[in-house]
Amino acid sequence: MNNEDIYNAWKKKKRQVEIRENFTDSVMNQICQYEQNKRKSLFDVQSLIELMSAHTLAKAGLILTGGVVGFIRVVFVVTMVLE
Amino acid sequence: MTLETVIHRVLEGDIESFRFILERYEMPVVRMIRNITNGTDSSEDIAQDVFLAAYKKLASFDPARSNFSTWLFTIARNKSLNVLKKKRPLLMSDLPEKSSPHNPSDDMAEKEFFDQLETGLQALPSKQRQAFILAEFEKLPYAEIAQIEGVRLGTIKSRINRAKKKLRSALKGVWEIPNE
Repeated sequence: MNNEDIYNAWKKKKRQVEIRENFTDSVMNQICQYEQNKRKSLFDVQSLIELMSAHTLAKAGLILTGGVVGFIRVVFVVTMVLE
Repeated sequence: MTLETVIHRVLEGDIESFRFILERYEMPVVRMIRNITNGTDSSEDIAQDVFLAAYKKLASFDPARSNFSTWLFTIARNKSLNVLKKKRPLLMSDLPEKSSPHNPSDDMAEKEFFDQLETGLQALPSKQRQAFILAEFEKLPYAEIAQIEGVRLGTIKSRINRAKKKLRSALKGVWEIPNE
């Protein structure tokens, strides 16, 4: 074997990989577990935060709602002061 | 079934369709993690985390921005780097002492060459090593590696060239990496 052959053999060796047989099933189980937990605790504060942060529309909606509520509050306070 | 269809189905709630993604990418992802983390026993555990993270973030995957494989490899790369941060880096000085040049036809010599290449690889600066691994073992195009690493194409070319140069110089007299 010359240098190039050995280098290629090394690369080939590095490309070989053995994965345990139940790898796919074990990941799928984890995913199912995650989904079950998510459903269980859909109304937890943590899940709600995760849910909100994962969806751009939800985030925009929350910010908009906050803005509107804040504006109404300011208008209300100003009205009260003026009266 | 195309990958787009699979992703769409998973996002619609068909969890079982994710199995298709797993079966298609488990091998390259585990291999990439194993090579970046220097074959830790936990490669498969890290890969599990990668796929779980990919599942959780699937809605944020944007096909207009990158290939699915690039997106997935980026998650795998980041998880591997987190694991690597906890390990002591190897230095060039950690390389075993070079013995006299061998006849490569000798099996023992070949094993020794492999070991030296391995140690040389692990002693490379991490950015160079990652680029080298993705190009040489994963056979990814340079443009895709640049996307994964978040740098320009020229930077990747330079990192790979430097990595080869360092490996060559670390093993000088014993080994010459062929130019491609």
